[in-house]
This record gives sequence, C-alpha cells and structure tokens, in this order.
Amino acid sequence: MRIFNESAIAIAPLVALTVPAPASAADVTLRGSLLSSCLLTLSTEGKLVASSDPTVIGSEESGGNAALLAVVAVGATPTVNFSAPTIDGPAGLDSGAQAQIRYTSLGGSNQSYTSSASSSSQVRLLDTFTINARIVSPNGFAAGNYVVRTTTTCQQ
Amino acid sequence: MKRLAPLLAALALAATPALAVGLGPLSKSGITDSDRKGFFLTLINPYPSATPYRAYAVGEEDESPQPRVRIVPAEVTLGGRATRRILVIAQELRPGEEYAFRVCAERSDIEEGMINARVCSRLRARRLPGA
Repeated sequence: MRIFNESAIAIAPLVALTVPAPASAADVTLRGSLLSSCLLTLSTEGKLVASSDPTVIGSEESGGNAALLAVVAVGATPTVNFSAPTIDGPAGLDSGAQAQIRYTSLGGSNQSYTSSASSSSQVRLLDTFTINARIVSPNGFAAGNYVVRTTTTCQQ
Repeated sequence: MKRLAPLLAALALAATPALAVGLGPLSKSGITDSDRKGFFLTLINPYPSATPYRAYAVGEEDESPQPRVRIVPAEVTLGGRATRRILVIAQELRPGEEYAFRVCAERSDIEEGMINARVCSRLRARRLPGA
C-alpha cells in the first residue's frame, strides 16, 4: 500500500502535464499599438475650366471638378493648413489675375473663396475636404496652361 | 453608418490616390546633455506601389529652411503600404537652448497638380544648461 502511494505521488505531475486545463482558465490576449500620425490622400485632382465670359477659370465652371482630399488622423485631431494659392500660367498672364481657393469638409469646415492662407482645426479624426479653385482676371486670359497651387499641411 | 457613407466613398476613391503621404508622431520633444538630439519619425506610404518621398526641416511657424537639422534618410523610396523610420538630428544645441522646428514629408516626384499634400511633425529639443 505504501508503494502504491509513492507511485501515485510520482505520477501525479505527469498527469497534470498531459490533461489539458479547462478552456475557461486560458487567457487569450491580442495586443496592438497605433502610432499618432496623419495621413493625407488626394484622391481626385481638380480641373479648371474657363467661364463663358471669360474672366474666370475655375473648378466650379461647367466641365471642371473639385479636388478631394481625405484626412486620416490617429491619436489626436490635427489642423489642416492651406497655403495662399499661387498661379502657374503662361507668359503674358495679367498682373491683376488672382488665385483663390475655397473648401468644405464633411466635418464641418467651410471656407469661402480666399486668396490668403487659411486653416481648419479638425474636430474628428477622419474627414474629407472638397477643394475648389479659381483664377479671376478682369482683363481676360492669355492662351496657355494654368494651374492654381496650394500646399496642404496636416500638423498639430 | 449613413453619416460615414460619403467618407467611405471618398476613401474608396483613394484606392489609387493621386497623392498621398503619412507621417507620425505629429509632435515630439526631448532633452539632451550634449549638442545633439535625435528623434525617430515614421514615414508612411499609403500607396499600393513603391513611391519616392522626401523629408525636410522648416521653422516652427514658417517655411525657413533649418540647416541645423539633419535627416537620415532625407529621400527614400518606400514599398507599397510600407513604413520606415527616419532619424532626425537637431545639431549645434547651445547649453540651455530650446530649439523647436518642424519636419515635413511629401512625395518627391510631385507632378503638375493643384494640391501639394504634406504632413509635418513638430519637434522640440532642449539642451540642459552647462554645469
């Protein structure tokens, strides 16, 4: 009887190793980490078209289209800055010509046409901006290619 | 979900974006007892294909170049959906000086387009006063 008890003691750890623990005792942990960041994606380039009069070239004229810019932020809501728009145009561009942009966003940003720098403090982490641009030239336009440029910066 | 629909539609359009860039963290600060302070930032390529990017330092509130800042690498091509850490070193810090600047990242092969998109991180390095 004494021998049986000693064997039982010796075998016990082996039994404990081979019999699976109840499922309820197992902890399953999945971990992840996100980097505080901002991601800008310009999905659609804008297109400028001359108006009928023709003192305006703009993305809201018939045949033109706005630019679409998605903002995806992680961690904290950023600020999106727009630099003052500039014109790339042909030689002979009227000195009175002025570039302007305006934008709205799904998050509620709403900037009317401006030729100055502007910014939008985000209230949400995901947003999409619709950006329109135009060139106003009371004396008309020389023939050639025109581009309105603005630098969009996501930062805190 | 109804409110998210337009956003998701816009992101779906971004499957082949005309321009995209990501950078993080958006701010960082640190203390050093030497004349240099290093920061790691992470550059993100949202494109499905390899894309060239450049990173450069400008003033905290303006676009003035910052020759005291070294970035390694300042130009890099990232594989599709890839990320990479870049090292930013603020140099020539004087004892007790606090130096703030921004590091911005953008595509280096910007085409003739209306929008130039970039992401900037605010960095602040402080050197301890000399003994």
